Amino acid sequence: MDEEYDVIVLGTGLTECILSGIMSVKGKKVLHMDRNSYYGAESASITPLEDLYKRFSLPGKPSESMGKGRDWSVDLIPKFLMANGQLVRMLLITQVTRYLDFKVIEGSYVYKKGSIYKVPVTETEALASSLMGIFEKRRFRNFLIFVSNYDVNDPKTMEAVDPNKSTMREVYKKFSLGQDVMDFTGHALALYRTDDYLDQPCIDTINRIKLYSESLARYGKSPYLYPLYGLGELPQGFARLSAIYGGTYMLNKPIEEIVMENGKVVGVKSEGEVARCKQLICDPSYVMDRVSKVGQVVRIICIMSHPIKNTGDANSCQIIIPQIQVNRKHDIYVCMISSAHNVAAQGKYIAIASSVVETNDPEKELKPALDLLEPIEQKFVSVSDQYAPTDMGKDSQVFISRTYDATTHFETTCDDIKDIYKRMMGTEFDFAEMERTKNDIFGDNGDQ
Amino acid sequence: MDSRYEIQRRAGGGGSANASPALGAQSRRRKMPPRPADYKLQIIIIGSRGVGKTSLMERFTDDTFCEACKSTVGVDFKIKTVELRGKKIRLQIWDTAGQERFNSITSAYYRGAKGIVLVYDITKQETFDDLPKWMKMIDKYASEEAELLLVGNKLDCETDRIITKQTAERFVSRISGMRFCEASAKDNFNVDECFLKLVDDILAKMPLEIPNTDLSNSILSLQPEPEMPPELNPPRMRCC
Repeated sequence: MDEEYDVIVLGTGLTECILSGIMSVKGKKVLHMDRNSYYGAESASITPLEDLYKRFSLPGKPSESMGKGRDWSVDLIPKFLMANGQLVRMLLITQVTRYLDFKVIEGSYVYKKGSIYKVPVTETEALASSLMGIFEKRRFRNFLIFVSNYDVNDPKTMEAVDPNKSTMREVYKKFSLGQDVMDFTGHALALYRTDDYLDQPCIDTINRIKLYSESLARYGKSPYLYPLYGLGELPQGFARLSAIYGGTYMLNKPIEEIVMENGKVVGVKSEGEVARCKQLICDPSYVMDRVSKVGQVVRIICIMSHPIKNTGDANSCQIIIPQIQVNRKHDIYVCMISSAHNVAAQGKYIAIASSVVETNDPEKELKPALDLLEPIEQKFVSVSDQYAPTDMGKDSQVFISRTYDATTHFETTCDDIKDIYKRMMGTEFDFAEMERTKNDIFGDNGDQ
Repeated sequence: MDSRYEIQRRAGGGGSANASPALGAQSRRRKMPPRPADYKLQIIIIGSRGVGKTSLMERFTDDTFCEACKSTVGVDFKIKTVELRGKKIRLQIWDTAGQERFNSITSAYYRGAKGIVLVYDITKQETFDDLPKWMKMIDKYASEEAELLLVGNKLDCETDRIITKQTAERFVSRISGMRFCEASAKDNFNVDECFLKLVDDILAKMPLEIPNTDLSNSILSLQPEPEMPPELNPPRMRCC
């Protein structure tokens, strides 16, 4: 405290930690604080298990069958990383990969009329899949080849489909794809949570399908990666990057006030002292007067002693329940990981179901997902408000992030990071900005 | 340390200035790639601010000491290769990146550590009083198999000593498997011995053969090139 910084960051969620890392690497003097005693804020993994029980106000302690509390590290928000997505790109460019180990998620499943079906990843699986009929598969294959070759810089590949004018509905029609295939494509590949995309320009969908295929091609089993010890390792990795480049870290710091002068931030007050800054980055919880509620997400963390039925005993998987299958407006997702990822005690599985809240009984909305997981040993239900900034920081120089949403991966989180960067710096974000500018590994590197 | 020179002679080629003349012209023509390390071990150093964590590390890895250097900025980790028990070991010694300053070391820092060096300053009582706090973090986040070493640093300031050897030994006796030694990074006293004793303890507990990781769900450290587990050869596929 009592010093002048270029940037003060409040909250150690993933978004804030990545931005802190970017700023420190760029040479800015950064002070990063969090009111909590742990890193990660809303994107933390809670450990030990006893702390999770406390957080959800469950009476008493976990039962003996849960094993050692310290073997658990439970994510608060369920997400996976797309193997070829933006977050992985950030991890590679910053080399935060040094601090992390990953496993590929074993498979993705899609819910249809009460049962779950594996999303095929090989030709063999595709041929055998009952997700669509044999003739549909042929047409679908042609469609996929088209998408894979589609290049906005090469008109020959576009086959008269205008990326910004042709709607996706029109593209589906061009390939005579039926309802089943459209649902599968939109929800299991393009990972849309609603059907709004059908009447939008097709380029977004085409790019999403490409991202899926590219991610799938990297490791073969699924397009998703997951860090050992939980998603909470991600913000910690970026925080370390920031610290190496001079960032100062303070946990357990109650924030009393954001000090403004003439509508512009000049510092942050905590425990009687003021740290001065030129710019401020924070998550919505520190500036409730500058954000508005844009929705709610319901998440239910389920602990089981068995893998999910009909997944071939996979130790990890994703289940997509398309909205149309359960009469909803938004898809329901289930992310499942287990002791194989060092997040649970031996023999235990963690499945987190989530979706956008649509009624005033959010827990009940997730019933179709929970039915797939039974028997469930312990449940933790949370309904989180989602916030978006009303103050974009132009005058105040206060840059607020968005609450983590109900999408199944981190693309929207990365979009938010890029947007905040642009608001702060006035220029478009360039991944190259994140590259470490100095050598920080020393010693005999000769023999790797 | 003699063993260091031994390594250079035995490696006979790979980047060493002291290539054995006995191999003569042959070794100069046929440049042998250095033998890859048998083990890669991660070691972390923790302890309160100013006790000499970075100094101990730098003395061990670079054989240097910087009196005027303040809080560490700019070091992720340092690598040092040693040879022990006939094995070549690549040590990755991690620095705290200054996050201990306000008690904000990440839990992730403790994760992969096979060895933990906990340092205090023999001339400062509060650095010793802080030890239970560090032990709490270790108990909470570190692997239960991690080897622990307590180091009382700044032995060169014997005249200003506050913590006796017996006090520290009593502390260590209550923690199973924790070793203790005193050292001086400044005077280069006992530093190599402390680190190598720790590495030796780690090796003693490791299985003789490196176990074959389950390739069907192997752990990936992300590389720019995709890392395909050799046994899984997925067909050249288009999506689905």
